[in-house]
Amino acid sequence: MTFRSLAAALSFTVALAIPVTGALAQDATTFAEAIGAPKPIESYPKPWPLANLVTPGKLTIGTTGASPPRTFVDPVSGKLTGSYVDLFTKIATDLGLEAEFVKIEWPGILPGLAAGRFDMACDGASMTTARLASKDFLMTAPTGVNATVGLALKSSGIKDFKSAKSIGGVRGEVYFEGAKKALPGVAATEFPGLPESMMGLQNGQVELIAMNLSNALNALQSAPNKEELVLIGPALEVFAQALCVNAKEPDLLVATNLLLGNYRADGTLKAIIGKYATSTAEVDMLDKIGY
Amino acid sequence: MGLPKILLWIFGGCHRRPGRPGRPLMSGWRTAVRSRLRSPVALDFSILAVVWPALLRGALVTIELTFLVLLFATPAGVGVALLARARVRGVRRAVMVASWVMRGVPPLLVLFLMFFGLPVIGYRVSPLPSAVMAMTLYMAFYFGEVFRAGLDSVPDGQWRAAKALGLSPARTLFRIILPQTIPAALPPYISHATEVLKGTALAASVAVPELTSAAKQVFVVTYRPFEILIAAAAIYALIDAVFIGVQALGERWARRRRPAR
Amino acid sequence: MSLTEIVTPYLPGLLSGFLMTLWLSAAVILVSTPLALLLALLRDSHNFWLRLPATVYVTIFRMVPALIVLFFAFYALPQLGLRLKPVTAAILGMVAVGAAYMSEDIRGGLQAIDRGQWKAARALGLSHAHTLRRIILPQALPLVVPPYMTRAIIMMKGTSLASMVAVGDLTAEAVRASSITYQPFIFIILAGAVYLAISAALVIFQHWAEARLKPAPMARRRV
Repeated sequence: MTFRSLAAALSFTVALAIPVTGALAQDATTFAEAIGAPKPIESYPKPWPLANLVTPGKLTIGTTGASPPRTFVDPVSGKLTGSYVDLFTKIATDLGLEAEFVKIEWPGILPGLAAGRFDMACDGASMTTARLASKDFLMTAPTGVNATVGLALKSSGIKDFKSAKSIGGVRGEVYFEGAKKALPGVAATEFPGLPESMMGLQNGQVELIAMNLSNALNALQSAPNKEELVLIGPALEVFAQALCVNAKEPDLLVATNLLLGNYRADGTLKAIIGKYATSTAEVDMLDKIGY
Repeated sequence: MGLPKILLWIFGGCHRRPGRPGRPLMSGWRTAVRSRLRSPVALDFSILAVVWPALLRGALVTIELTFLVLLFATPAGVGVALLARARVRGVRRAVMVASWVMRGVPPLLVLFLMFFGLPVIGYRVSPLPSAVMAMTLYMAFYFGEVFRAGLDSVPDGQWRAAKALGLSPARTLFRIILPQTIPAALPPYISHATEVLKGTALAASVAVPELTSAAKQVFVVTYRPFEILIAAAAIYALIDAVFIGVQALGERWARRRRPAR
Repeated sequence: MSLTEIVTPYLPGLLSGFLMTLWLSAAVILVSTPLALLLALLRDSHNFWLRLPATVYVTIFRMVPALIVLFFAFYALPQLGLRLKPVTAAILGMVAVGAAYMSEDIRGGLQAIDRGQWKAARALGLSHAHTLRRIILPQALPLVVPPYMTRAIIMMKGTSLASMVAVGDLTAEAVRASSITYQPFIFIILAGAVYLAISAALVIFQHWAEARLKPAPMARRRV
C-alpha cells in the first residue's frame, strides 16, 4: 500500500515532467494502478437513518400499477409487478426498509407525493423544467431515457401524428400534454390510465394514443391486440426520466442517488429493466447523457 | 415475465376481438350478416375462471370497507341527529351548514380531500382508513337525516316522562328513545347502507383496491370488460341481497315489537 | 408562486369542465325524468307483464354501483359492437341508473294519492291517461318535488363519475390541473365550491318550486 502510493506519487511527478500529450494517458493508467478496479460504493449506512419516512421502517411508494412493463398488476395473481416495482423494492431492501406500494392513478401520484402520502413515486417521471424546479418534490438521478410516441391500429392507416383526427392519452401525463400542444385542434380524450386508453384505441374511441416509448414497445410485444397495433413516430419529445422523492426527505434523495449509481455501475439497473423488456436501450442510452 | 405468457394462455388465438366493420370473421355474406346481427365478439365467461381470485380479493375489501363505514357512520349519524336538535342555536346552525356542504359536494371530492389532506395536517394513515374516514364523514350526515326523522317520530313527552322517572339522559336515549325510532328509521337506514356499499366503488380513486378497481384492473389487461363487469355487478347484487334480507328481518322484528309498546 | 398564478393557466380548462358538468347534469336529469315517470307507472301497473320488466330493471340498476354501469357503457358495449363517445356513454350510463332511482321517488308520490281517486275517475268515465294527467299527477307533484330535487342534486354530483370514463368534466379538469401543478388542494377545493354552488342553485329552485306548488292542495280543498 505505502509502496503503491509512493510509486503513484513518484509516477505522478514523473508524469508532470513529460510532454502534455502523453501525460493524460499516463495519468489515467497510473491513477487506475494506484486505486485498482473501482468498486461501487459500499461504505454507506445500513440501515440508512432516514428521518422523515411517511411510515417508519417502511418505504411507501406511490405507483399506478398501470404502466407495463414498469408497473402493472398480474391479472392472475393480482400482485403488483414490473421493472420499477423491482427497482423500488431493491432500493427499499438496500436501505433496510420494507417496500410498501400504494396504487393510485397517475393524476393522484404527484399531488399525493406533494401532500406527503408517499416517500417515493414515479415509475420514471420525465424530467421537465417545471418538475425540476418544483418545491413539491425532488427528482433523483436519471434512471432511463424515454420518448413520446404514438400507437394506432394498423387498420386505421395512420402513419404519423399529423394524420390522426383524434388522440387519447393519460390525464395529466407529459406525453399526452406534449402531444396535445404539438397537435392543436385535434380532438383529445383524456383517460384515467394507460390501459383504459389502450382499450379506447381498440374500441375505436380514439385513433391514436400518445404514450412513452417503453409502454408502447411493451404493448407491441404483449398486448392482447399486439398484431393490430402500429408504432407511430418519430418521437415528439425525448426525456430523461427519474424517480421522485418526497420534498421533506432530502436524506432519501441522497441515499437513492447513491444506490442508483451503484445499480448503474454493477449492471443491476440494466438487469432489472431487461427482465421485463426485450430491449435495455432506455438504460444504455444513459451513457449518452452523462449517467 | 408473467403477463405475456398469461395473456397468450388466455387468448391463445381463440378469440376475435371487438369487431370493426369490414372485417368479417369468415367470408361470405351470410356469415357477415350473421356476425352483424349477433354480438360481434363471442361472449365467453370462461375468462372468469382466470380472474376470479382478483375479483374475490376486491370483494373482500369492498365488504371490509362497507362494514367499517357502517360501524362508524351509524353512531356518528345518531350524533349528528342529536346535535341537529340541540338547544344551542349555534350548534344547530353549524350542523345544518356542515350537512349542506357534505351533501352538496361530490363524494369523490371528499375522498380526494381526505386522501391528500390527512398527511398534510400530520396524520399518516394508509388509504383504507382515510377512505373510511371520508365516507364516514359524509354518510354521517345522510344517516343524521334518517335518524332525525326517526327521532321526530318519537313524541318529545317521552324525554320529559323519563326525566320525571329519574332516568339519566343516556339511559333514556339508548333504552327508550332509540329502540322506538327503529321502525321509522330502518328502511331508509338500510337503503342508505346499500348506498354505502355502492359508494365504496369510488374508493378506487384513492388507492383502495376494492371490487370495482379490481374488475377494472383485470378487464383492461384482458380486454373482456363485458364478462368481468357482469361478474362484478353480480357480486355487488349478492352483497346487496344480504342488506335486503337484513331489512326484511328487521322489519319483521319491529312489527313484532310494536304491540308490546 | 401565488394562488392566482397557479390557477390562471387552468381557468379555461376548468371553465370548459364546468360547462361540461352543467351539460351532463342537465342532460341526465332531463332524460331521466320521463323515463322515471314511465318506470313508476309501469311498476304500479295492473298488468303483470308490464310490471315485471320495470321491477326487474329498477331492482338491478339500484343494486349495482353507478361506476360499474358507466364502465359497462363505455368499455363493455363496444365489445357488443356499440361504440359510444365518452360523453354519450357517460350520459347513457347515468340515465340508466338515475332513472331507476328517480322512478322510486316518483312512485312514492304517486302511491300517496288514494287509489280510490282512480276508481272514482274511472266511474266518471275518464280515460286512464286523462285521469293521470289531470287528476293524479297534479296532486302528486307537490309530494314528488322534494325527493325529486334531492335526487336531481345527487345526480348532478354523480356526474363527477364521468371523469372516470374519459369525459373532461369539472372533476376531470380539476384532477388534471392538480396532476400537472402537483397541487393537491387548490383545484379540488375550487371544484368542490363550484359543485356546492350548483347544488345551492338547485336547492333555491326547489324552494321556489315548492312555494309555487303549495296553493294547489288548498284549491283542491275548495272544490
